[in-house]
Amino acid sequence: MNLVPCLPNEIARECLIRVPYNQFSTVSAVCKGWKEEVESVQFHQQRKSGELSQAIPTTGSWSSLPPAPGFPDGLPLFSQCAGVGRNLMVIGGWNPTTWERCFVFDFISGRWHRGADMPGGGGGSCLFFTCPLDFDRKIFVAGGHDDEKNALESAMSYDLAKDDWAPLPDIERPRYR
Amino acid sequence: MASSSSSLPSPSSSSSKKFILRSSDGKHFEVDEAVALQSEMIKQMVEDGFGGDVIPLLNVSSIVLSKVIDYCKKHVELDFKKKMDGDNEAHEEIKNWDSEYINVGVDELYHLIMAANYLHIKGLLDLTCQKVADIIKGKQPEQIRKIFNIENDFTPEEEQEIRKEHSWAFE
Repeated sequence: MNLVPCLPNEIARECLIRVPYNQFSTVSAVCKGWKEEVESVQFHQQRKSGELSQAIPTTGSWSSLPPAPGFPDGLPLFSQCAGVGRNLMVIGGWNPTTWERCFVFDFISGRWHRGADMPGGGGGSCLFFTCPLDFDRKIFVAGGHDDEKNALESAMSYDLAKDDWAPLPDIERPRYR
Repeated sequence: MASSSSSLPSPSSSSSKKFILRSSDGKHFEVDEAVALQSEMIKQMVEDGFGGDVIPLLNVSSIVLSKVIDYCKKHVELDFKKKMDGDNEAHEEIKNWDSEYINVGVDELYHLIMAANYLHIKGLLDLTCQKVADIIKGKQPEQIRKIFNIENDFTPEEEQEIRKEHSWAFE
């Protein structure tokens, strides 16, 4: 079955990759073929490929995401965000009762899910630093402070595909800000 | 051409080489070399030593070809203007002209896409594909299906599940 009747699939794909990111959940609700297409790795690779990213105009507009589960009034204060592939990760924060939690927003399904908690049961995770480690699946977190405001030197990586945390060597000196 | 009233030398002088394009339904279109060479496909043919008088375009009807030639002519003219007048003004003019040009129904859009793809005219392919994306933008799945004649192959259960997941996006 063609993605769009009358158009060859490679051309229909050229059209779909030009649809702005915030429409992907609508696109995937049209039919099974479109859903499969926007969820495929090739689709996103093609979309990001150098030649095309220049051709795709950005919308330049803001759109709001649904609230993260357990945080109806917004994300925890001082939580950290990192974009990984088609996902947004939110981790840590200021509140010791929730700071070990990790949430993942999938821009295609338009849905949040909770990832594995950071190990250590929140022995301190008001993180100092978060960034993606690669384009697809890993992020790097470091530093922060514990519930007595002692700065930390610990560092970890999170693998989105495995939903798993792994320890990394400590950073050179403890930092919380 | 409306722009020939300009005091600038015209990009299409009578001495320039002409090409004759033949549509699938046998109509002939005489165009300047610069206009014909907007098509990478024709450019390749010429570079490969095609020596005939008439270039047959088996996949493009006269109605569509005439519209495609409009695009190529205008872009040759505007590219020329861009070189003479500087970037900004011409850029704005191209944008406005393109958006007016592409304001067509879905069937005509399909034909233009297929022609742009066959003739390998990158600017026109970008413009037409972007138009499809713009049509999708801001519509509900049901509206999108109707416009593009796409069958909803989700089961009612699957659809309900999708509605639940995406309720925030559909508001």
